[in-house]
Amino acid sequence: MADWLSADRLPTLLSFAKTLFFSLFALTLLCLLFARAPGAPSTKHRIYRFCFSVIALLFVAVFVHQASWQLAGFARPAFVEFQKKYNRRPDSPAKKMHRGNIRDRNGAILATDDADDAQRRIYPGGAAFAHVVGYVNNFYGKTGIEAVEEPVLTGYSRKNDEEEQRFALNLLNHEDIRGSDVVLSLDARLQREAARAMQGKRGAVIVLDPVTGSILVLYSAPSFDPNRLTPQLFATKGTGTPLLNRALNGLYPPGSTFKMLIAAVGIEKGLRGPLDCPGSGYTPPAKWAKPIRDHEYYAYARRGSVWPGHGRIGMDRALAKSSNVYFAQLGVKIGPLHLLGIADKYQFDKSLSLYDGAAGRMATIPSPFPKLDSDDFGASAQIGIGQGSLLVTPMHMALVGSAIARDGIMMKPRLSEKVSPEALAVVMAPATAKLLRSHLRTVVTSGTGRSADVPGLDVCGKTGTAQTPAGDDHAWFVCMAPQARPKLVVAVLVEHGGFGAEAALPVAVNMLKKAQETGWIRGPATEAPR
Amino acid sequence: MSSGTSWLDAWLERSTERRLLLLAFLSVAAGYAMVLLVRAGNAVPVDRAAFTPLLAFGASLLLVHLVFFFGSFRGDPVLLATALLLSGLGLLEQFRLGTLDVTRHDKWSTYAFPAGIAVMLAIVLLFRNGRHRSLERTSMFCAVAAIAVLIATIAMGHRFRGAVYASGNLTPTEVIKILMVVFLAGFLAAYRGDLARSSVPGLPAPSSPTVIALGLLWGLPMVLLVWQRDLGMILLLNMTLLVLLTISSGRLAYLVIGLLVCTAAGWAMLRFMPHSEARLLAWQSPFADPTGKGWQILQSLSALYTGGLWGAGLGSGQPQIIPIASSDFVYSALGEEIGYTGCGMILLLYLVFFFRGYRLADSLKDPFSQYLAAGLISVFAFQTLLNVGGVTKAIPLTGITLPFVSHGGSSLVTSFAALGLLLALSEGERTHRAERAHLSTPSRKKAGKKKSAAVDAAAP
Repeated sequence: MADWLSADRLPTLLSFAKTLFFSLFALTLLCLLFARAPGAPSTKHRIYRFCFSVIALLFVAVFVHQASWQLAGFARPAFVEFQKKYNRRPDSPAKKMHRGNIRDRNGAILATDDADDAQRRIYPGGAAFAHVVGYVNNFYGKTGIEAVEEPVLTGYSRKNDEEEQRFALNLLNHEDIRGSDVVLSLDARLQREAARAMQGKRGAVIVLDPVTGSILVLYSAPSFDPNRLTPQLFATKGTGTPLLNRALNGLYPPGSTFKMLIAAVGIEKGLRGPLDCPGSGYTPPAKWAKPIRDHEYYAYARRGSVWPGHGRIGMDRALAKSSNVYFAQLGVKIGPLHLLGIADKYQFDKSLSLYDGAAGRMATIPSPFPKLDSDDFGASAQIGIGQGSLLVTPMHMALVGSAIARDGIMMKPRLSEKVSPEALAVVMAPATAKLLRSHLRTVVTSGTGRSADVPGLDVCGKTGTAQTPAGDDHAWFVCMAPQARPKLVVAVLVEHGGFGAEAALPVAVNMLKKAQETGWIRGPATEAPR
Repeated sequence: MSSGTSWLDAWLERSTERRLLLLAFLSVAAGYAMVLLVRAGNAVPVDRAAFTPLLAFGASLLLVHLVFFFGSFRGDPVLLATALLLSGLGLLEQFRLGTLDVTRHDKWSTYAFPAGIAVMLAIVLLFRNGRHRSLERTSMFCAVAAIAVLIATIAMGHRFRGAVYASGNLTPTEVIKILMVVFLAGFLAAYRGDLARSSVPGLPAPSSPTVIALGLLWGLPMVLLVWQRDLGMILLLNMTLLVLLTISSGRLAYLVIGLLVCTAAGWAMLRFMPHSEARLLAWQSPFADPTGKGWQILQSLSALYTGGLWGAGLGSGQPQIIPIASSDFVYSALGEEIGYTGCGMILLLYLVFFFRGYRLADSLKDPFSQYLAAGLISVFAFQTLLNVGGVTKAIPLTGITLPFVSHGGSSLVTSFAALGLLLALSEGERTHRAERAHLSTPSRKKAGKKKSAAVDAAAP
């Protein structure tokens, strides 16, 4: 008998038998319903009819309740989760639920379902996108966009018409349940370049569009392969903590890159004039204050000579040469109260949200601004040079750079272009920003940032070498190009990288060159395509 | 057979029954074919033994029909056919689940269905033609018998999963359902006037002896059931008590007071019975403990969801994944394979059964018969409601089985016994109407007059 029932005959026979069964059953029911006892009895006791009505009503109620699980079970997220884990049937509807894809701005797929096994997720982008895209795993949980946009990716979200339609279809059709795709503002080509450039290093790379706030690159090193999650990843000692998103959640002293901000504050306060910068350094007027000296002092001292000092210099030269003496004085001149006053508008002590998803958000941790007393000039001198107890996230420095690039407007960072660009704050006047950019151009043409002078791009930027209590200095470089109307802002941090010019700058140059290659920036004369 | 009716009359009398039983058999056979097709497709050998359950079912239907034909039975065919179709579906599901092993001659549960049919026929023949009235005299004794059964089970039984079973996992307490209903019907028929008495308008105030008698004879079995932790049976019987009290006395106050007392008792039981707390948690928040307390109900619901609207098809699902699929959760097992539509049809079958049952109660003349019929039907109705409600998470699980469809041995036999009683009751009622129909046929007027005189003399 088995050979007669070949594989292709069986389904047809079964569906025939199924139809037959339902038809016969329905026919039997009909006959039962209409079988009358001869001569209907007079209903002398209405109570029995009432009893039956109540019971029938209860049955209807239970049957309707049953539908809410049997037919519309998709509307219960906890139930769907349970079925994904524990419904062992090979044809369980949970196994046929297709999660939406995550794509970059050009449609490249960053996360998708395995073609053979809808339960498995594969990440073609690999380690380069791991921190942003995240992962979804039955054992290890969910992170990143996979976590934050879970309702959209699984088809639950009902925030707009398209999603409503999707949800309704998913509710009715148990066989083909789909989620919606999520498109990010990242540029996969640039992001991959960042991963390549940061190989063997620890730190972060951020590339922003200062006009709209779109994030093109958000990379943290070391990274991990989300296709291969292991328990070792979650160990806390000696692994370099690859799961940590340093761009958003790492706090580092900004070092000399902070001088951009101090310069802006100084310009706005009218403190643009030249200052004396002796070689011996500057001692702020505070108890137990030590002299703050230029980095050249220590370089000369190592060679056995004495640094003569910059002499009397203006702000542009101070920025170009990254003079600590100048900026320490500037910090003191600005004063602790004023510094405290501008902390809020520069978005300190605030968690900055990059992405508001249906199930959470991706945001930075706040950069804590030091709590200064009104007479703590020692601390304000330290803040002037980006040291002391000042700590910032790499994303925050990128945002400061983007404010300078956008003529004073700090745009809200966004990982999705579905939200309209929004301004976080106006931190400086357009004139200040333009002046600052020209100073920053000097840094690149004749200052510490010389190696970043890519021909035709008019790069402006600021290096940073931040001292840390333990280990080598952190290397920073924040730049933008082209000077006249910057199209991109690049921020690079290399943890314990040493000199900013040596460790962070080459990474940024690679990013700029890749951006030029892919058409983001074309030099000062032409507009860059999107 | 009396001389007034001929073979032809008896044959025609049962024509509806014939049609209904045939359709029931064909439906079950179609489902059976699906299961066998799937088995053959999976290269499982389909031998003669596989057809035994279906043939046994068909043979049982034939046997019942012939017995009723030869006995010139005039009872309600719809009650019979509905119950038999439901038990046929249950048989089908047992076969499909593989729990119906016809080669195991030592297992008592294999013979549950034939035993049930036999018991039903025996009871119909025993109590037909108005002989059920003799039960009225035995009502007090039934209560005592129920208490005796309970004590015996406690003394000789063992605990398993929180309930008490006799040897071989039998639940002799199932027969309590019938005994307590007979007792209640008799008691209420006798004392309904007293129960309806009231001094304050709306509030009943029966005399103390009545209250004490009812309290003792009802309360003692209840206490023993609490000891047995048989929550389902307690709920079932008390719901029936409320219904019958209200019906017999005509006072809605009993219902209201009863509901209040039930709520209080329910709260007390939840506090002091450890098992109940777990049940309540599983009902309210199964996802809090999905692999522990919530596992059963969530697997049941997953099975239903996998079934969807039309089901996976009989034989094509995996109902064995549901824990206790063969008895408590047979509704979910069926739901996975015949879908929401199939479940709706099953519920409709039950509603037809209850409708006919209540109609029967309505048409009976004396109060005892009415209460007996209403009580038995109410027990069936609440049993079904508690089971279906439990497995769909409308209410907490109470360990109640689905009548006729669940093939737990004692449960099936008891259900058939109750069905037998109902059929016996339905005949007694129809004898009168059949005679009136007889009188309207002109050719039989003379014979009809004689017969009606004889019948009128016999009936009280």
